[in-house]
Amino acid sequence: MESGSSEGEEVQQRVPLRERVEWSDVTPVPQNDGPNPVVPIQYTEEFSEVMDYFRAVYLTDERSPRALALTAEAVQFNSGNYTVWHFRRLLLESLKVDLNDELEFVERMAAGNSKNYQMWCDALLCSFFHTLHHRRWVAEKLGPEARNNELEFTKKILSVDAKHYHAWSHRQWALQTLGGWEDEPNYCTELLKEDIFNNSAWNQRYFVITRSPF
Amino acid sequence: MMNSTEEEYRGCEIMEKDVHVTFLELMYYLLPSPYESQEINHLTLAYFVISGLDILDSLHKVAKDAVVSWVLSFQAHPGAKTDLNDGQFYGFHGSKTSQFPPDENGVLIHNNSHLASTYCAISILKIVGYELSNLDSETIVTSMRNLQQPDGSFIPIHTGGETDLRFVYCAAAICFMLDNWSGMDKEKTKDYILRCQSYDGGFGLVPGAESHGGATYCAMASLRLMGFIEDNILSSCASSSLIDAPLLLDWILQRQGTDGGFQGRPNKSSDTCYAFWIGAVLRILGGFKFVDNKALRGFLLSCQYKYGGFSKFPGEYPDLYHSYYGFTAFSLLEESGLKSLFSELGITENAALAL
Ligand SMILES: [Zn+2]
Repeated sequence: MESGSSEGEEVQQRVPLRERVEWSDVTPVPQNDGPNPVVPIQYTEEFSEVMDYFRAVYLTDERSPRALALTAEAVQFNSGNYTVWHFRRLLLESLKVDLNDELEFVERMAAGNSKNYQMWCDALLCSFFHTLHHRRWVAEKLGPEARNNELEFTKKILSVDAKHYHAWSHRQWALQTLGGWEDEPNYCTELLKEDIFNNSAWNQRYFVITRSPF
Repeated sequence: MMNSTEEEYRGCEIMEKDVHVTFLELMYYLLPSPYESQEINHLTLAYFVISGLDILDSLHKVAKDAVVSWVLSFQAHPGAKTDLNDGQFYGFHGSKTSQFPPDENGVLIHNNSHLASTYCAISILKIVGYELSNLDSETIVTSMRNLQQPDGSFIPIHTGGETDLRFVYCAAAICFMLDNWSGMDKEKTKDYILRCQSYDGGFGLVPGAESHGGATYCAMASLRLMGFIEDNILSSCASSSLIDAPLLLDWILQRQGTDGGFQGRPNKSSDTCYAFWIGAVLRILGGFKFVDNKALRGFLLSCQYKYGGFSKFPGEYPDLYHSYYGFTAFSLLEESGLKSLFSELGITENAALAL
């Protein structure tokens, strides 16, 4: 198995948090594995360090830009960590961050995640849906103006993997919540012209015909 | 994924049970660092290892008491004055990075209990023979109701998240194992599941989504655990009105490919894990006899790794997830030396029925 190789380069250039001036006032909180951990994981030093600092800011509920930056690092190591994602949403709200920037962040995450997604199989255990759930939260806050963004975002993923289950489900959500049904029949036709056996596109066609308000 | 050399696969004509036991034992002692990206699913990873050893009839390799106390250490306990209708779920945390100690008054400020982790925790406890009546199951199921949505689906954690059939299945499996159904509105849950059946007979993860082998398993296993369908419904017409069983059978039988393996969706490649997801649905339906056993076996063997485990596709390196579903698939195929499977829970019959 392999994972996170797309982040490999970043990891190598990474300066450890304990060597960064802006973190010098924070004492990391080590993980408490208990007396007899079973099926232990061989953590890398980077992983442990990021999570130790995350614990520190999470426990003191530090709503700061550096905490926000730290959550970005933490989800890159552990993209399924719903605790980190949840804290990130609290930070985005407290710090009143421009959510359009957040859409870009999710896009970069999605690109880096694709390997992981492949490994953990089509749907059941993959952590990619946490990334999309986060995106959904952002898009809901932005409202109808996010519509084109979401349709373009899923289109981008589908241009790489036309049967990406979670991308399709995100797209169906966007259509139902934000609208944009008008062009969907054409999009399905386009995909079916590329691959007549694309069952996901046939399903989408059925979805549009039976659920579109038009 | 990289391809391993042909050499590492040549000569795999039998299911190498002993090699797989060694593979799982190594995982039991230490999961290699690539698994840290799945740290949040630590209990799920442990479930694959421990349940896998049970299927391979090697549970004696596991220190049961240590497993019990470790699993119980993830449980979220409400404080003394906690109102169980406070909107939170008091189940099990998925891992140590999602778990934080309660404050000095015993109040859990950061409760990150998750339905999937709770399902895996209870399964492991059942497998190692822990007496589940010792568990405060009333708290688990009562607070689980906080996760059920008006449409019958479940969010996995009280702070939100996607709702889909995976978490419906986790909720049903939890209620079944704890033998306490007060954790859900069964009728609502059933209605949600039925709305996920697609025009082609399979089930999607959410209403409107494309039919998918894993989702179809979650739907059928949940309906069966909830008692809405009987075992072997193909031979009894009584419950055929609830789901469109003939259409489902039609969809599911087309999932075996020319290479013998099962695919999760039409026009996708065969993949080891669907040998379980699809195979178990066939078992529940009473249609496993329609499977080309020999061909399925052949496909699985092409995914068997020389040093133990199974890969997703033939000739690749193995991972824990596909290894586990490779073992369960061989159990469905009644491989000698393997324990038989309780399909609806995906664990051995012995564990499920507390034999
Ligand atoms: Zn798979």
